[in-house]
Formats: sequence, structure tokens, C-alpha cells
Amino acid sequence: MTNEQLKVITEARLQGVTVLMEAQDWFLAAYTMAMALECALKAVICRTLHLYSYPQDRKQAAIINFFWTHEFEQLLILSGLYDEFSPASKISEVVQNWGDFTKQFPGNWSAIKYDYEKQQQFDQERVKRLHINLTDPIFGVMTKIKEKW
Amino acid sequence: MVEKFKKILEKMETAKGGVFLFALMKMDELTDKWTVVLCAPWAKEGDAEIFKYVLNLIQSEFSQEELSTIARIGLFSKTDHLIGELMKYNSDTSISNEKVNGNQVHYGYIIKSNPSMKENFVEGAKTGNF
Repeated sequence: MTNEQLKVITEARLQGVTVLMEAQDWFLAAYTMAMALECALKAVICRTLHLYSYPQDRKQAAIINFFWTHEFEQLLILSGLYDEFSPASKISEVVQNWGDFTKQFPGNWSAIKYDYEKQQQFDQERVKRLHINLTDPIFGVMTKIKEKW
Repeated sequence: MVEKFKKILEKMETAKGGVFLFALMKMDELTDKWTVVLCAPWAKEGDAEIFKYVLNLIQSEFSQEELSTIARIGLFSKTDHLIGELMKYNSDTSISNEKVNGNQVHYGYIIKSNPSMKENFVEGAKTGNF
């Protein structure tokens, strides 16, 4: 997938989040937000590393190790945006939005699709907060990423 | 790292009041960075002012190199499942390769766990009457 394709997918997922929130499907809305963030970070990685498309060669162990991951911390490092979102950043609001969002999706977060107990924890209040963490027009995670993708 | 975080905890408790939980955890497979977990009656989840206060304390205590080992800082509510599970551990306890609230914790350290602390302890801090 190219940088442009990843951007299109990100926007489509974000539109999907709005629909899911209106339908009060809170877990799926949260999961889709995490998918959108993953796609957005992968789009930035293409831009930062001057790659025509996101590396997909599964026969190369190095590519699997570095690029085939859902983990936000790993993707953030590859994207070159680490200093903007990590606790070393000067902008507290951005650090907070990153922390508040990703603390709900640590490690291999995509496994929550098989975790019933965890899914029940995504209620309306939490999901609305996650949406603000992502889309706040000044300090939102996605807002900052879109400045760089 | 743990000693410096203990110093930060001391400063927070003096200035703001007691905490229910203060812990460090490594939950990511590849990057091996810390997640700082704080749950306190005075630290409401999403409170920008308190977050800035905690971030400033951490930034003033750690070097840039040390800061690069911290992935995120999370303020949690006491009702959060993760906090409920972590408060089962005592203060000064290490966790190694355990599942906590469905997440694999490769390594963790509970600096302070005080589930029975009363919410009004925070008032004591404000007045200096501990």
C-alpha cells in the first residue's frame, strides 16, 4: 500500500467511527479508531522513510520484525514522530492525548477483538474521550499526524 | 529509574495528596519502554492541568535519555479494570510476564499501592493536616 492509499484508508476508517458512534457500537468504534491510527502512522512511515509503498515482503525477517506490527510505540518510532508524542515533548496536551489513547491499546492491541471482557470496558464515555484524543482540532493525535503525512 | 519515580511520588504526595496507585509497566513487545500508571483522587482522567503537572515533574527529574525510555503517562480512574487488578499487588512489588486486564505485562513495578486510602486524604494534603 502506498502513502496515498494509507491516507485514504485512514479517512475512511475515521468516517466509519462517526457512523459507529451514532449507532452506539462503542467497542467497534474504538477498535476502528485504533485501526485508523495504525494506518495513519504507516502513511507517515512511508513519507519519512521515502518509501513508495509500505514494506510487505514477509519472507524478510527484518521487515516482519520492524514493519509488520500493530504496536503503536514501534510504529511511532519508525514514523519519526517520537519526539512529538513522547513524554520528552514540550507540548503537554499532545503527550496527554497520545498517552490517553494508546494506554487503552497497549502491546498487540488487535487481539482485543477476541477479548470479550476487554470489549465491555469500552463504554460511551471512554469512546467519546478517545475520539477527542484523536481528533481534537489543535492537539489531537490525528491532527498532529496529518501535519506530517 | 524506580528511585527517581519514588522521589516524584514523594513530591506529588506532599503537594497534592496520597495516591491509590503509582506503577511502571512494560507492555509493548518490541520497544521495551515504560508506561507510567497513576491513579489518585486528585488526578482525574483527562485533567489537562494535572497531567501537565505530572509531566513537568517527570521532565525535571529525568535526562533526555531517560525520558526516551518512557512510552506514555496514563492517569486512570479508580474504577478502571487495570487499576483494580494492579491494586491487588502490594507496594514495592515486581511483576514479571503476567496478564493484567488482558494485557501482557513483560515487567512491572508497583511503587505504591494503597487501595484502602480514603478519598478525603487529599484534603489533608491541602491543609497540611496528615
